[in-house]
Amino acid sequence: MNENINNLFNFYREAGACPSVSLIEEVHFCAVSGLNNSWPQMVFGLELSPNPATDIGQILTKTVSENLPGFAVCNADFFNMQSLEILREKDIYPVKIWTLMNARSFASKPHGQQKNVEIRKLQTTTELHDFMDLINAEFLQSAKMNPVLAEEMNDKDAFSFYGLFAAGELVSGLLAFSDLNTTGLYFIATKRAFRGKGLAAGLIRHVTSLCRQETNKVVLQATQKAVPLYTRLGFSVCGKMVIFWKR
Amino acid sequence: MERKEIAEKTFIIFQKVFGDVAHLSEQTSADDIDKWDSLNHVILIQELEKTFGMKFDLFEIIEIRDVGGLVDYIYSKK
Repeated sequence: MNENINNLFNFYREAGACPSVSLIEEVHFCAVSGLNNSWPQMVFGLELSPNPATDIGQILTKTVSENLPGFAVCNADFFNMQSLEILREKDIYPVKIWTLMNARSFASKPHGQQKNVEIRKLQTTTELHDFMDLINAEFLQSAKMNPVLAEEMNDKDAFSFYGLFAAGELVSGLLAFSDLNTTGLYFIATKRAFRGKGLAAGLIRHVTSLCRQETNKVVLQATQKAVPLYTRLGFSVCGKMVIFWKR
Repeated sequence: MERKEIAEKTFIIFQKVFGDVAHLSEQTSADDIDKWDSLNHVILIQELEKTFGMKFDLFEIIEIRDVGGLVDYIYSKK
């Protein structure tokens, strides 16, 4: 499995180890479920058989019948039109494609910060809650993150929350997750009023350089719209992943 | 079917799936509609397929997240 997908799955596994999250590990998949339908709600890590459509259909049917998270991520390479048709008959549709991107070049030191902004690791409860407010408003859709979970994740060495502050206000943030040799960047979000100013780019450059000093690789999953931005920042496409949802 | 007719029917489906959307236009995108999440995206696609009597290429349509883009897509397949 490539390191990008592996990091994503480990990200959910580690989040699932937090007290406020349920983690279910089966032979072919794992599922995480936050309290009260909060984030994370995800089926992942599908080590599928040669018949992935059938497997995903069974998995999602089971998740609905057992009130587990109702959607799944899977490597796009597994799917062809025929398998999509099988899923469609079960009311399971692909709803998003994530482009897997790995950083291909780095500055040797953290990138210089822009004027009048400060980038730092978030530490206090207030900062973490501000981060939650940011990603719940600008990033997450149906399932919002519980602030308690942010505190639980922050207690783990593998997770690091970073923020970019303008005049003392948190306006952009991301969550870095490190497994053995890879760091994944998640929840990259900027307040709407502060977009288009290169703030997130500065934050990503800074954190990527920091993480590069600790792990070999830095990876992220991008929407199609964001691919050009990340390409300019030194990331290159290494694959695709599909998000499925069952009605 | 004329593009205008497709647009009118698409607007009706949007109101049905997402409720009253303020200032609905072809420029309206997923960023403008809070309820346009993954589940409602599935419902929207199913409603559009039913209304226009066609099956979409799900990988082609997956990245279209504005009303005008959907109208263009349907018009191109009619």
